Amino acid sequence: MLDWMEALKLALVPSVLVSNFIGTLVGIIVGALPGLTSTMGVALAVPLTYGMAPASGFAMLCGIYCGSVYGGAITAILINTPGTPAGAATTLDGYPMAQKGRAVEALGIATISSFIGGLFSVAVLSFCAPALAKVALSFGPAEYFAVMVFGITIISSISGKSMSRGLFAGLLGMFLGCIGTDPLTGYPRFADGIPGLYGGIEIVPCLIGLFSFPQAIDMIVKKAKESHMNALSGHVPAISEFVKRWVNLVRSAVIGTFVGILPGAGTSIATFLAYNEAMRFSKHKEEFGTGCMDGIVATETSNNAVVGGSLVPLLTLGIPGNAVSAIFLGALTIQGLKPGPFLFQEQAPLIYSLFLSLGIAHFFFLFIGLAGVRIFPRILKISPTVLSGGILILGTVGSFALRNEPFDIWVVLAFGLLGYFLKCIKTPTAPVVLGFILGPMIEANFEQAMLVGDGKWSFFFAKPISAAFIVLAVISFITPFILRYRKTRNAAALAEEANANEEEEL
Amino acid sequence: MNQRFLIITKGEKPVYLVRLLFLEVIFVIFFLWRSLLEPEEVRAYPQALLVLMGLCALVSIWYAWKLRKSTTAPTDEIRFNKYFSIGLFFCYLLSFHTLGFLIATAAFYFIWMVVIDRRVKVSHVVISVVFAVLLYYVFHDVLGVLLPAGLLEGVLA
Repeated sequence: MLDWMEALKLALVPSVLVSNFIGTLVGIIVGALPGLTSTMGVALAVPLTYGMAPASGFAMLCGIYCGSVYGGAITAILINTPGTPAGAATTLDGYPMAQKGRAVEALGIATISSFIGGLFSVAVLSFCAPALAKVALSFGPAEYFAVMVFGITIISSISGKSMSRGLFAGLLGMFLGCIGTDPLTGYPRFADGIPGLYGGIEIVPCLIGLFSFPQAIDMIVKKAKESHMNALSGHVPAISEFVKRWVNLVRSAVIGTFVGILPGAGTSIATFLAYNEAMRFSKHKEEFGTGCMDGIVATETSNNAVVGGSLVPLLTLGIPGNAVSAIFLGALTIQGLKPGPFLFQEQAPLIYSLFLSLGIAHFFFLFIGLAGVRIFPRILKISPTVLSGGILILGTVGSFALRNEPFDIWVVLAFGLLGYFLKCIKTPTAPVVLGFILGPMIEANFEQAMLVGDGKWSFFFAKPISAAFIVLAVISFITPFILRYRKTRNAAALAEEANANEEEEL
Repeated sequence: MNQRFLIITKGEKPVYLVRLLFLEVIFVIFFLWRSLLEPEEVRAYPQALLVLMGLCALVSIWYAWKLRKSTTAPTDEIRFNKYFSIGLFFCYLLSFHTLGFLIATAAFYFIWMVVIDRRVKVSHVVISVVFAVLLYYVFHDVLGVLLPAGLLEGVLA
């Protein structure tokens, strides 16, 4: 308790609060700009923290991390272009809601959900970190494989009108994800001597191409305003609306935190998993994908919940779970701290101040986000010609900025044409993204599991966690098919009944 | 049976769709052939994916063919805007390194606005130049990204 009091004194120093606020503001801008990711934002700020007091430096990094994960939702909702991969799933319901002239409402939902999810994960990080880190360590390749397969089954839920086209898109994403170095042999598959393909295709140019390019083309082809003119007339939903959805909020926060704890899993997976579970347990499944509040609540709660979760293995075991926490590891080391089991004993007040700064950053982005719900949608008032050109330029420079690789700007064009093609055949792009992210992980973990299990398939069922997730995956994959079959059968029965009634009347 | 198809593909243009969906089959066949050039130990997974993709593509075509109606040709203006935007973006990427970020971006943005709006305005020049300079400052000077200088190499250095 004394440590917490010391930490409170550290976290509430004005200079620490100011650096936390600046970090959050910068993080939101970084997150909202297509091409600039959380990793890039935190990495660029690390050198600035060298000369700061440790508490101020950590507060700034915490602010950037939280702000950037939330910021990705702003452009995802307004212009259908996720600022970060974490915002990809938010386009599913956020953009349709903005198209209906409810951009203010969508941004408000995203802000409050992100706040709740983030705070939940900070609480978990503060009080249950060591126990959860042990659970994460018990995950081997078989368990990872099963979780990833469970994740990929979401494709059948987000396939849109045509299941076969949605499945094609998901498989296409998995296929494109397998381009590059083979996880087992190291052979550069389908690389054709192109150095940019040896390490595989980067996710950010792929996302920019898939989402922003078709959007820009569509804007100038239709020459229509991006949203109705009453985009600023909506309002942020009342707290009671969120209280009604407490199950969805808690479930998504738990999914986000848990996926965050798993090293290497990633934010995007958490958002798609939470979205799928929200849809599965919803009484109004048909509303998902059309601008449904539950969809935004699920994705935004889960992506900010990943923030706290991803720091659990780092602080308790010294194992960075994702790229951002690897940069945090560097920042901690520079300040003379050694992440691991003894960190909480040796530097308790400083580490607790980091937890508090992470929590305070959520209040800052809640304040900035709610203040901005009527400012951000003004972007929709810009002429579609100006906006579409700006989106393409920003996407191109953002993709190039990631690793100064000229090849990446061509990836934007290639994936842009693919995204446009998918739009023409009325197929959602989300399955491609999901397949692209999960495909390589599924392959790598499958091969590792087969090596560990001496090539026996029974290895996946010998472990209770992997067996449970495989069973869940089968259920998750089949359920949408059954629901669709029932729906069509009922529609056919109704049509026959109507025909029979008409004949009787005649 | 027809009722099921109506629910799945309501409001679409099947003949046009069938043509587009054939591109999926061509993609699958090309990469199946291409995968044969890869070593045996690394091609099983992509080949399995491609076979499944082929099956999905065939099912999509079958469903779309069942409901074929008429094809709708886009109007000339829409078609022009579509091909123009793709072509101009391609030229922008080509000139990104040779002309340099500043010149290529300002030129791309200016031509983009002028052609799509079908008129030249002073604001087009101002927006394109200011946007290019602002982005160059943010990415090059603030974020430290090495953006190509191109023709302005001597001036910017």
